[in-house]
Amino acid sequence: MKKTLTVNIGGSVFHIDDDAYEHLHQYLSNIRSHFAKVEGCEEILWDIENRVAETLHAKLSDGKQVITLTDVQEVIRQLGEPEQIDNEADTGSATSAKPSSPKGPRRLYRNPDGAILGGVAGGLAAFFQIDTTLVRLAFLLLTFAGGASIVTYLVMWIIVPRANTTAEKLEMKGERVNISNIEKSIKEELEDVKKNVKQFSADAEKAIRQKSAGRTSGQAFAGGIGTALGEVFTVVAKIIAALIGLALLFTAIFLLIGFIWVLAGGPISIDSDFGIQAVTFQSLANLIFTDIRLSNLSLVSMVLLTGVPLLAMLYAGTLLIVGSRARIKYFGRVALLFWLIGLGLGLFALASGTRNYMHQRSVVEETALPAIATDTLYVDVNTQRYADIGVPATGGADLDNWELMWIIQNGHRHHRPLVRIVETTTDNIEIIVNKKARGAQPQIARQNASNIVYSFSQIENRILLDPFFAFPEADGWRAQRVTIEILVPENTHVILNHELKETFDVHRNKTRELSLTINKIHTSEVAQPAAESL
Amino acid sequence: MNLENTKAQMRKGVLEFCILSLLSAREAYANDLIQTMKESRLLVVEGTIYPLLTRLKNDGLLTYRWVESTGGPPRKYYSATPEGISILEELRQTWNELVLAVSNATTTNPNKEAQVDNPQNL
Repeated sequence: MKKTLTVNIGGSVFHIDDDAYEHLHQYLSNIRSHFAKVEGCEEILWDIENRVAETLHAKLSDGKQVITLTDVQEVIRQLGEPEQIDNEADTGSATSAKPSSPKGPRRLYRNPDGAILGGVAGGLAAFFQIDTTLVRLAFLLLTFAGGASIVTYLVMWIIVPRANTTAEKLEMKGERVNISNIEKSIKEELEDVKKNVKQFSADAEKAIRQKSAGRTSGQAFAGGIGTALGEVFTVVAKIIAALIGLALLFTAIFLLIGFIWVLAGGPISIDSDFGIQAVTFQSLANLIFTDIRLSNLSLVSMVLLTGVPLLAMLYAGTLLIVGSRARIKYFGRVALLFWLIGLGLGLFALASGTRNYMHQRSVVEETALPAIATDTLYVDVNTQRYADIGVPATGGADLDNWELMWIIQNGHRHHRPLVRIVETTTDNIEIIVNKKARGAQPQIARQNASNIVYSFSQIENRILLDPFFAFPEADGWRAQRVTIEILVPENTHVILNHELKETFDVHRNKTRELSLTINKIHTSEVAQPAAESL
Repeated sequence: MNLENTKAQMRKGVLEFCILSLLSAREAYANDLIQTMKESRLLVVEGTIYPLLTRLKNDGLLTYRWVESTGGPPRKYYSATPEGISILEELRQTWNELVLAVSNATTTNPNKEAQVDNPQNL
């Protein structure tokens, strides 16, 4: 299906395809402009148009009523392009006709017809009588050579006046401003306007915007600069908006990729060393929720809470680049609705999950160690335990608490304990292991606490502490915590292994000062302590 | 050497002569002329005839009258004016001299070529 126009060619009425019309119109315009300076131009045109009508007429029959593009192309081939005609007929339009219509002074204007930005390239092209595309290309290429052309363009945009009137447009093209030229120019423009009016109905909104943006020109120079500045700002604002849109789009796309990765069960944290399990969102949710349904609910909630804003970002970015054409009806409302649903589900899951942490209980194990012969106590880390959970003994201490958590050995997760050294007045060294955990019920919390496994050993005056405690994987994460208090008699010299310092959070009694040597942390007496330690 | 261009240059000068010649014999409208001249391969593209007719008319060598046609716009029937006919006589004489000169130049022994005027100067 094609749109057909009804046209009058040489006094006859023809039905002609839209594209065929454009082609023919272009051809006749070319002939007009080519022979514009030849005496009897109108007559030549009239004759040629009649010939076109005659030839086209011969192509029609009862079965064929519409002129097609092929018909027009054939006719044009038969009649010849203006250059061919001129070459044979030697009208001298290129050379001898010039003196009869001398050129006027050429002036630099911005050409608003067919402009992409401010018409600077078009104006320069008219001034130097070269193709506009070449000028644009030059501007573009020079952008890469330091970007000076951008500044040049902006400056010219602002200071070079725009060719508003027909006379100015003739001056721009270097044609003499006389009545016949103006008439001709106006006629040509009217043709363009006719064409525009047709497009107008198809693209009304755009046309209105263009008119309101640019066509309110003042005659005064200052007014012209004002309009030009306005144009500059409009376009610059558009470019900035597009850049922001692009940034939004890229960010959203990358985040979406990550998001989908997590949704598909991809690991959040990847650490192939030490055989650490991949941490997925699902496994995180399972740490908190005992009920698999709640765990799934939290997943849905996350999808909505994170996915909806990401889609909104994508949408906003597209809008900024493409403009309001890409607008989707009710997008905002639907997005907000889904996000609120996600929030509701999330709050519900959170409330349900929080119940698992309602109560805290502790289990305390006190061990009195046999008295030691010297007054120096060494506290050391049992690095051998790393090997037990499949981590090389050397370097294994680099594991932080988060990574340690994901090492599951014999159905147990692992966590670091807290160490505190406290002075006492008793003679014995005592170790108090305080295990804490939470649960939905007091007895569950107590059960979780007593499920925690922690061990240490003593060889003479050396205490070997395990670098981590373990709790059953099935318990989930219930804020299991272990605090080790080492109660030491007054005046005992405590030497902490440097490994210990890296492994534990060492809490110390206020009355003792830790002094740091290269590899060891020594504790030493402070002068003032007596009152406090009592 | 651009052969096509040379051929076009050769045709150029004689087109007006041919048109005048045809129209001095009988009245005709553009299509008749196109038909005749295309048959004798004087025209490559039809459009050429129109600027030529207009120029000859403006120079007063041709005149035309409107003739109503069936199923189309009125047609211009061109004919040569008395001035056109006298110009035609002049052109014809020049043409004959030219033909003679060219045929001499192209058939004589290359040794004698200096005897003949260069046709391009005519």
